[in-house]
Amino acid sequence: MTKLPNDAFLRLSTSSITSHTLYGSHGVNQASQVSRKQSPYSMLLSPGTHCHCLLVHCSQSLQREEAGFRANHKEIWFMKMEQSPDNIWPFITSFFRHHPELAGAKTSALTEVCETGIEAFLSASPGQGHVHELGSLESVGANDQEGSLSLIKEPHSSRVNEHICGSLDRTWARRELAGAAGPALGAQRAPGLHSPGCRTRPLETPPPGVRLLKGRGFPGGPQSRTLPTPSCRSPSLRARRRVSYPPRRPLACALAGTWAGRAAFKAGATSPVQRLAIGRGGACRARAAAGISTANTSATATATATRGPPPCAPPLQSRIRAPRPQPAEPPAQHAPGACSPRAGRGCETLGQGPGDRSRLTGSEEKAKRRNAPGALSTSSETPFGANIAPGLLFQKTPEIYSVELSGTKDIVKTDKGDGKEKYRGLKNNCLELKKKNHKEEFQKELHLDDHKLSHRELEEKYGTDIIMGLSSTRAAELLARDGPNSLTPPKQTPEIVKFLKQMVGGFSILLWVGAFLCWIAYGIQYSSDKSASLNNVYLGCVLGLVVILTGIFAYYQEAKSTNIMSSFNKMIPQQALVIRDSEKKTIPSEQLVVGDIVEVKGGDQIPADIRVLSSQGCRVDNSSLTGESEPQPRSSEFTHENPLETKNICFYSTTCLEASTSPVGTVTGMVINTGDRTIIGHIASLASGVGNEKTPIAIEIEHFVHIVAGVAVSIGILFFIIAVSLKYKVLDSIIFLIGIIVANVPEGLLATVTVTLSLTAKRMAKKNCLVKNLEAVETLGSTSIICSDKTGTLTQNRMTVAHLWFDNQIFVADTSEDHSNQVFDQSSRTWASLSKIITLCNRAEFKPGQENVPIMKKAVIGDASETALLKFSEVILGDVMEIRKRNRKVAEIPFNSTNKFQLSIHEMDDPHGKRFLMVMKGAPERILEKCSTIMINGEEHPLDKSTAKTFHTAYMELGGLGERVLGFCHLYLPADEFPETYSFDIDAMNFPTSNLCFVGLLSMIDPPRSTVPDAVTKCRSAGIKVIMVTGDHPITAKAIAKSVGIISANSETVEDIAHRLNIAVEQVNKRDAKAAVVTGMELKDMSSEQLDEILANYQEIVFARTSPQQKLIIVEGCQRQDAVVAVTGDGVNDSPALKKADIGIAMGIAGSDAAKNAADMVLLDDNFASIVTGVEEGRLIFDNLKKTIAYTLTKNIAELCPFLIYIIVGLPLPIGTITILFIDLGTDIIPSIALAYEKAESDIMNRKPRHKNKDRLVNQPLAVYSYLHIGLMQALGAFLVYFTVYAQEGFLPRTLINLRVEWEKDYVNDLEDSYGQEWTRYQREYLEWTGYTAFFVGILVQQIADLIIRKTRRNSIFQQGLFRNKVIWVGITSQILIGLILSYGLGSVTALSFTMLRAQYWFVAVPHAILIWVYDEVRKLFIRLYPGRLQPGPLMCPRFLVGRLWEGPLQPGPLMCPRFLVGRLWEGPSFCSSTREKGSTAFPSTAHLALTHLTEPENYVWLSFPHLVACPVTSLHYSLTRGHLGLMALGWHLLDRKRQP
Amino acid sequence: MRRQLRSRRAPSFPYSYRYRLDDPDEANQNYLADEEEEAEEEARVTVVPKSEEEEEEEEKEEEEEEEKEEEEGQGQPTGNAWWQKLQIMSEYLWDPERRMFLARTGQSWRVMIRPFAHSLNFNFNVSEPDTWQHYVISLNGFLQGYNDSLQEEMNVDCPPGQYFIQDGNEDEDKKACQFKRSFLKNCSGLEDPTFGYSTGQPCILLKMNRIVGFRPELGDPVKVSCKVQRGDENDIRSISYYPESASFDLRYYPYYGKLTHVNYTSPLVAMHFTDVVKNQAVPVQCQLKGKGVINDVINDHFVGRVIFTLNIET
Repeated sequence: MTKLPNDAFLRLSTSSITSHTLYGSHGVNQASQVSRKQSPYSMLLSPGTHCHCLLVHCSQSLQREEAGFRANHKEIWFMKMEQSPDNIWPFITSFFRHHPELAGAKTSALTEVCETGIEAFLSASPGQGHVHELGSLESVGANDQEGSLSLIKEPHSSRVNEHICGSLDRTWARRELAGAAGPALGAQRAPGLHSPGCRTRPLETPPPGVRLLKGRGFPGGPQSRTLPTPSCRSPSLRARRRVSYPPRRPLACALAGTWAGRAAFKAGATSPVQRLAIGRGGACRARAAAGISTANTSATATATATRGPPPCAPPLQSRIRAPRPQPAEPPAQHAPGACSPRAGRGCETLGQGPGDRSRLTGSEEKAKRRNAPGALSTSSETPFGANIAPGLLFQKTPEIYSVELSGTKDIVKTDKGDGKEKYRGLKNNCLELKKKNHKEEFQKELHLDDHKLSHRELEEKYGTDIIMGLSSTRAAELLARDGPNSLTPPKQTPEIVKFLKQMVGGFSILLWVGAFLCWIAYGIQYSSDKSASLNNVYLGCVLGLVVILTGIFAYYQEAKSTNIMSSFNKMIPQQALVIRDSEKKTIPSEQLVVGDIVEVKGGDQIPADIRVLSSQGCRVDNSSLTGESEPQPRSSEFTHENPLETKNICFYSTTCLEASTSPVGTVTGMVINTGDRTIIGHIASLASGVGNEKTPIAIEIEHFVHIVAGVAVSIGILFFIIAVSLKYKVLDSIIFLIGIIVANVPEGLLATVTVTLSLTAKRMAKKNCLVKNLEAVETLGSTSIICSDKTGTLTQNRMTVAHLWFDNQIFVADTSEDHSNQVFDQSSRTWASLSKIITLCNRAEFKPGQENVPIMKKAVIGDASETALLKFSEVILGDVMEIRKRNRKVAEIPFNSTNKFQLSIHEMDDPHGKRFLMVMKGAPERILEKCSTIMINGEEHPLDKSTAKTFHTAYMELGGLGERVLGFCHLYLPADEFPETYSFDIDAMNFPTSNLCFVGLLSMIDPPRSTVPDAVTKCRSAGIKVIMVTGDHPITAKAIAKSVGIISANSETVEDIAHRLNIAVEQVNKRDAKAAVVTGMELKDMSSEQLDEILANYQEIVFARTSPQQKLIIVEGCQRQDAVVAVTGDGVNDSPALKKADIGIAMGIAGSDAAKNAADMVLLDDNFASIVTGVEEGRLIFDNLKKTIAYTLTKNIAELCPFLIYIIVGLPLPIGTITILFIDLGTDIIPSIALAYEKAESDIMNRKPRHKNKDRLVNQPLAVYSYLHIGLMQALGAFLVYFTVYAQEGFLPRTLINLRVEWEKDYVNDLEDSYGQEWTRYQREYLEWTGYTAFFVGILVQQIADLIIRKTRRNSIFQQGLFRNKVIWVGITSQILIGLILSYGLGSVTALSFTMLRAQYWFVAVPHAILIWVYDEVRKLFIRLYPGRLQPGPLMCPRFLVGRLWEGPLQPGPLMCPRFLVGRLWEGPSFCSSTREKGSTAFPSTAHLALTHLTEPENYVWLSFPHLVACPVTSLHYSLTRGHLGLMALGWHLLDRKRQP
Repeated sequence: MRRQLRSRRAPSFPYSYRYRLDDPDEANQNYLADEEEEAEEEARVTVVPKSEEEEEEEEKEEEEEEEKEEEEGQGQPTGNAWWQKLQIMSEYLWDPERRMFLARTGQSWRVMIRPFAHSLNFNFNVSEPDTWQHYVISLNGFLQGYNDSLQEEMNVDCPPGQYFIQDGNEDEDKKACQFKRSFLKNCSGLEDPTFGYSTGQPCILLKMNRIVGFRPELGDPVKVSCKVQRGDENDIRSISYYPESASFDLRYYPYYGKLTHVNYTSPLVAMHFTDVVKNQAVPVQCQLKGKGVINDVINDHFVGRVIFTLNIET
């Protein structure tokens, strides 16, 4: 009797299960059915039992060959050891008695008998069996790949048994023995000497010991590894019987005396050696049959199992009549259909024969066998076949069991059909998976049923052999088929492609086109004129440079963002210990294939999804996968339907914490899934399959890019056509086109946005929100639904005592983080008792060395509830350890799941006399059962019905709060009965455990964090819906939801209403309920419409008991509501949802790597409240981005107008393309970034989250206001500077009109200006550059004003504070500095077209800048004065004005319309004509628009601006300036009027 | 020499400042007037005295000397001390009269030739009048304004060898010195209406670009000299210049701008290529020579020189 180490290999009956019951319950027929439904293991195994029966089998491994598959070999092999050999015999006898039908069914009977026979042998052999020596197969003729193995059995088998069991322990793990162990076992089981009626021949010379040799007979390939295996569980016996054993049924249990290591038999050639040969595979069937026949003919027949390719071509013809070995445990376990699909695949044949003979007579035997096919069934001599009578069976048990292995071609054929089918199935599965839409795939719950299969079925399914492992070739084939065992990284775009993508993304493609057009234009020019100016080349280069630089920048940004797969990769163990070819090998885990047998040590990571075959005390850390933080025990028992919850599956990438299997200390398992097919791979593919949803801001920016690019291209093309039709040269027109595009494209904007976002990200990081994906910064701001995980995010993630019940009263305990304020009544004597129980009946202890740590933060050894109790009592009572010391523990029964209580007995430190106090805690109902009295106010009262009722009420109430309730009771043991010296015996329970005194209840919960309710309220007020999605129990979830405000105090669920009204749930009007608690089970049955309905109709929703897939479904549901969804989570299981969410928020402390990787944001303090600050920042950044964009867009008009006017009016070009680039990428960058530092204007947390489809980043009012209001004013101002410069140089504006053609003629070198001066071409060009610079300076100056007005959207600058944002001033300074450098520092660089501008030109645009500022102040004033109402009267206010003024508060209304605004400012055409009438034509119309008009006396108040006088200005300047001043004055004037109506 | 110049410039020195100081009144008076006209007027007033030659690529000539001058300028009494300082400062930054920026200047001669030829290539066949007729027409047309009768009627005959400076009100019309067509002798087209093109001895007129207020250095009229630019010097064996001095007389300077200096006639120098190698392109470079004349600017081929080719076929 040996303690079995490895229950996967050894299917045992427990000590309590007799052979009979074993058979009875798993008997042939019934069992085969039973086993499908219910794992046999659970019956057979129970931990710590002793070995009665040992079965080892290796199932066949499959090999793929060309079109089909074949079974290579299949070995069956088992042994049974009984403490008393006598037990087995009755068992066998009774078996056949109970199954008389077997008698008729020869084959099966044989099989069965064979099995049992072996068992009998084994059982019969104690003390005698001795593994003598294992020889090689060589002698048997291992000239082919088949090998057979015979086991030498010697009679003194008790030693053998022990040895073998022991060696199993040790040797399975050792690869040297892996091959040989089988034989050894076989050998050992062979003797059967003592089975009644068994013919056995003892070895003549008992071998000195056990020597296991690896037979040379195993040489060749893995196929030749000839371990006896029970392969043929498949065609269930029943089936076989029914079908009456068509020849095809390879039943294959051939006990053939296969091999006898010569050496092994040297001495004992004459000794009765039994060989166990299990021949397998159709190929060997013939041989096996032969073997059997020989066995039949002479009980000492030999089966030289394998020699040469099996002769029998139609493999299935040969039916093997040899008894089919069945595991000691009921065949049912193995049989049911596992083999059936592969009936063709070889089943074992058991042939028997004396080993020595078999060797010697190999060839003869072979010959015989050839002739024997099919004859077996009839061969009457067959001990099993013929003599079904139990009694006979073992009399004829051969001495040698030979295991025949085969891997022959014949099998191919037999297996083809089935194999194909099977693999087609597999393949189909794979294909299906692949083909299936990702979505469907990941939403589909995982299907995995390997945990339900028996070991045999597993072997069958995966074509492996538990002991021998796969063969290398087989593994290689599988590897080729399934691919490496690693997670497929998401399609990795090569870096260069990523880089190129950046190069052509966004506006870049436009600029590239521009650059190429430039070069082409130059090429054409050059071909016609060798002296063509290089300007176009420069421009092309600059454009290219711009694209490349911004591309590099963007690439750098992208490269920084992390890759989701990296953490998954990190989790992959590097090496795995695998059994292949019966040898243990360490291979890279990538090479694992399905069916591999792996061993995992404590501390290792699980190399693939494995089905546990054997383990003891194994615990795995599944937290990264399921979120369960406690180590999960793993054993080979099938415990749960759900593959995720059953104990016998370990998941890829989880960690095996401990495995205490002695002596080797491993978990053995079979690989059932590899690579992407593993659960983690599944989740990983979910996560990567979900893909990066575009963030709202990305969408916004894309939207913006599209708009701008569209505008740029269409204007460009429009003007190209215009230019061509105006008879411009096509080349020139192309240059115009480029200019227009460049002017329209805000080149620097994307970089600015990135920088802005990253600045905010930094700011958020300071507030504990680590943002991984920059764009997520904004996303958080637009979040409208937060799906929050419960544990750890909303709660503190530690159990805490929340309520107490004693004296018929419920007391509330403080659950805040520091536990400091316990206010309940502690004066009651009941409390004194209760506290004693709490203190004493507790095994948790503080870890040493934490004297200075606050109690609540101390680390504790012990489980969660005990920890809670310990801390609770420590806080209230002080030093718990001291109390415990004073009340010495004399006995203890720890908690276990069957008792459901914990008990300890203490010596009381009661001065009145030493008594023992028994304290007990546990599940309240169990505690109550044990009580007869209850303590109220320190008095014991009998426990009557009413008190029981109050107990139940309290219990229910606390339970209803979602709390874990514990009951406490005690009993003072009478001192007379239990004197001080009394020795308590836990096992004997020599003390009372009933009629105790019930003291109280105490409930614990994982309490919400103290900051959470506040944060939830804030979210509410910010219009964000908070949904709880948790895997926890609905009641707990609801309770927590209520306590943090996710379900507000006054809202009810349907169930609540039903409960309150006392009606059925169905009768409740669903509309009455504001809140809903939906469980995963309900969710499962819901259609997406139903889910939508729930999400839309309930304000407060809690999802409980949800799976990762369901989280995903919920997130998608929310997204269907057009919501921007934030998801918080911490486990790997959350990662798909995190990825799917618009913004995934992972917990920084508790979060798994996968979650953190999938997330866009990590909360460093795991605190929900941080989300709120994040939201605030996000909203601020959206506002600020809007400001930035408005700022950036404004100048586009000022940049665009020059080109349009150039084309239409024919002025010398006011601004060059390169100069524009310098504005966009030079002067404007820093100021626009500075806007990111702007503070919020108002309480942004009080408005609704922006609607992602309605509140665009760039909307029409913003664009119109930027382009047409400020932009045009800016263009005006810049033109002013331009005209000033030209006028000053001699070209009055009038002269400039249509001057372009002459101007640009290279040969005109004496062009006359307004003053008769003559200009050469070069001079003109230089002047043109000066014009560029002037225009540039004009824009620059006005952009300063623009920057200032953009600081706020509603508030006046003075409200906001001009100097609150210092960065703005940095921006302004930088702007001016860059301008100065460009003009004065780079003024001599020809390609840049900058010149040294006279100082006073810098001031020309200043009045205009002031105008812009005033104009905007006025606008903001109106917005503030008439929020939401300001709309001019229907007649008075031009429609286009309404709502245009950015942000839309401007609303029409007859009274509200500022009349002066209407028709004065913007009704251009009327006064345009009037100015024309006045005959002034010197200025382009834009410059005229408003100004002349505004200088009309009635509106005009002269304000003198003496400081402006400092700059030398021309009259031209003055006239315009006066216009501005007039406008300003008008503004003030009207303001005054408005203020005093 | 320079100092003299300086002192002479002094009276006209602060136009812009004066204007600026005056302006508010003016503006106040006029603001109801049509803006554009006003602007134009003001512009005229302002620009005329100031407009000089455009800034050119920086010449760093004699910077030190200039600075010295600045120092001297401090002594000039022009209004209160604040204005004075400001003026000096701003004059240093930008001297509107001398068009110096940061005490640098960019003034230089720029010249152009007539007849007008698109690429400055004179290709014609003596025996085919069609090939040169347009030159003749061009020259004729150009010289219409120089007709002696017209000149005598419109302009005054002023003394040669010195600047014809006319002080006085800005708005006042200025007189112009006569430049008669007959000064050009053989190239006047009076005797040979084909300007020598019919004989293969083409006349080409060199004219200086008008620059308001520009004055060449005193007493040193700039001479014109032409030669073969590249190749055999002997390709051009003789050139006659008219007026014979081959120079632009000082009396034609300064130019006051076409608004007041209405009848200003640009002085010309005619080059009569009397003996040029025929049937081959001869690159000719005509340079101005004189003190301080820049004629080798790379960027602008018309500063102090002009380059053209003659290809006379027979």
